[in-house]
Amino acid sequence: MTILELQHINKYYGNNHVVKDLSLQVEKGKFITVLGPSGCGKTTTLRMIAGFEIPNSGTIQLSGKDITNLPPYNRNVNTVFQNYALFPNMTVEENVAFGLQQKKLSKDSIKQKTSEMLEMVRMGSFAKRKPQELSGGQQQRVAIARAVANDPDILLLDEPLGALDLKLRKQMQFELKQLQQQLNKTFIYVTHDQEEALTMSDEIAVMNGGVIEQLSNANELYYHPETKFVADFIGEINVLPCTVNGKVSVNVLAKNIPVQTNGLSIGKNAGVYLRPESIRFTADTNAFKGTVVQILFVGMFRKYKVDLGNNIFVTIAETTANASPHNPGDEVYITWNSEQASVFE
Amino acid sequence: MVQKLKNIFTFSSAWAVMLFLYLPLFIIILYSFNNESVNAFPIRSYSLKWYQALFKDDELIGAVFNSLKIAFASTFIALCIGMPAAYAINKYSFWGKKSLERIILMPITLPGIVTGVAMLSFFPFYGINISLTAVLIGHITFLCAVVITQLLVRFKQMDPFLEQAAYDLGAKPLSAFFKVILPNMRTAIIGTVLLCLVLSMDEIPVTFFLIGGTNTLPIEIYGMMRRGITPEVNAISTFIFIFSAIAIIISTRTNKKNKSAA
Repeated sequence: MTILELQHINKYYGNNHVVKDLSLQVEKGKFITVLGPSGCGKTTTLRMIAGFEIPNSGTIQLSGKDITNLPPYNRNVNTVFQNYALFPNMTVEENVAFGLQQKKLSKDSIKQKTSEMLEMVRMGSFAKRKPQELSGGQQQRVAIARAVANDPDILLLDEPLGALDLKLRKQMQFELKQLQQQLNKTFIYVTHDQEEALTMSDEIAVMNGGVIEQLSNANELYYHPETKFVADFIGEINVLPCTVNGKVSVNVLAKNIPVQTNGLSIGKNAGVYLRPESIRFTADTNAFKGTVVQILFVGMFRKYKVDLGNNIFVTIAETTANASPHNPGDEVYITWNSEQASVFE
Repeated sequence: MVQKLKNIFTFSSAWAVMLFLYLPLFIIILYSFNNESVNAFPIRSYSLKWYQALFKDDELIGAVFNSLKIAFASTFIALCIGMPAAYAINKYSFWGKKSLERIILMPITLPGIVTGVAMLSFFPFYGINISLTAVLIGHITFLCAVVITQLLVRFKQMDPFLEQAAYDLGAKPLSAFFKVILPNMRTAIIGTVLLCLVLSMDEIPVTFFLIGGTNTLPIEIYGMMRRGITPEVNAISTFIFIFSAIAIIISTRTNKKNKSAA
């Protein structure tokens, strides 16, 4: 079931076209991440859903109702702000109760819901503290409890983990995902951190220059990028210069390789994009021949830098569970799964 | 050794400044208890007779009440006008905002005499004669400038996401203002109110031009001076000093509380 639908949204700041004809459908109960570099329009998009910005054209529908021009206080969505924006004049408890009080619920039900929310984020014992007396991670939890307490149709999260240190960020990623599944709520999460996006999301919308370049799950995004930008932006990637031979064929280093060419015209110079994990060593002497230049141990992976000649180098990643089969200077043959290769201009 | 000398130097210079500022005030307080009508040392005997005289002086008491009325009313009205103005200047961008921010200080930077004369010639157009009402309007004018500049600084420091968070949680603008913005402005408002009260209480130039038969306290004291300083003036000064001191203590206390919470 579609809970949120953005249709042909345009947003200008002066002459600056920030969001360009953006359309997006969000399924109920999904964890959607909007990922992109700073200035790509992701936060503006989130703020239009929250009601802090009004699009210049296009419509936003929440549960089938047009909310494009409604003020934030009349939309059933809540936001977790980047800096948390907890009210410093109120205790933790009062912060969480604020939204419920605006709904004019009875004192008892406010109290019950508030303590329930604080228990959920394990902040029950901090109810009487002021936000300033809490650590970043604790403030984060209170901000989440405050937003979720209103039982929003959608929870919007604007880079909520940006201010936390690495270890805490990892832990909160896990907790957020768990919370989302437990509540079975729709989360829309904005971040520039691709790792965060890849670990938590059901679907990721990669934004660049005001448009969504690709909307798909993490695996698709990683191994089957639809645009050059996505291929470059997500993770590490090898680019092998090639010439397009046909619909499913390119010429790389004087060898014809079968791969989808995305409608590029024949004879065009392009690049084959390959993840380091998609390339492997082979005993087949008909495969590409190269020389190991460098071996780097990076924990889970061992990275080989291989010289294929003609000033073309590729990086290959292999698990470190086994001892390295090669040493620098070794002659090797490499191949790849062309299913996981993409061709872009 | 050098460090010790340095310490002695800073210590003594700090106290010298304190002495320079407060010694005259303490001498006035001392004089207010002097039995004689001449301000001179040594004081031969002490009494409360100037305080008794003060409370019997209807004109002086009247002047005190006039001053208090003007001070509280003008501060309150200036706050009602200045706070929304500061809020709007901070939040919205509109044509001429930058110049407005600059000229808003004019009523304070201009010499009081200029403002006074200007108002004296301007008010009759609107049928406002020289009176306490004219004085009230005069005070509101320059206090507005004070309120706007003081509160604008705090509005600018405040996290704009607080207001958005309030809207986000379902608070309508008025509710967000009173429940989130105003409480977070509390110390700034208290400080501004105290400053306005003090400024209005001892304002002479503007008041001088606009006041008719009735007097405010500074004008009354000014008048008494012409007849020579009587120890009554010392007594009233002592009162003013005590009230000001209390006001300052309150304002620093609230500030401290706020800081320790932050």
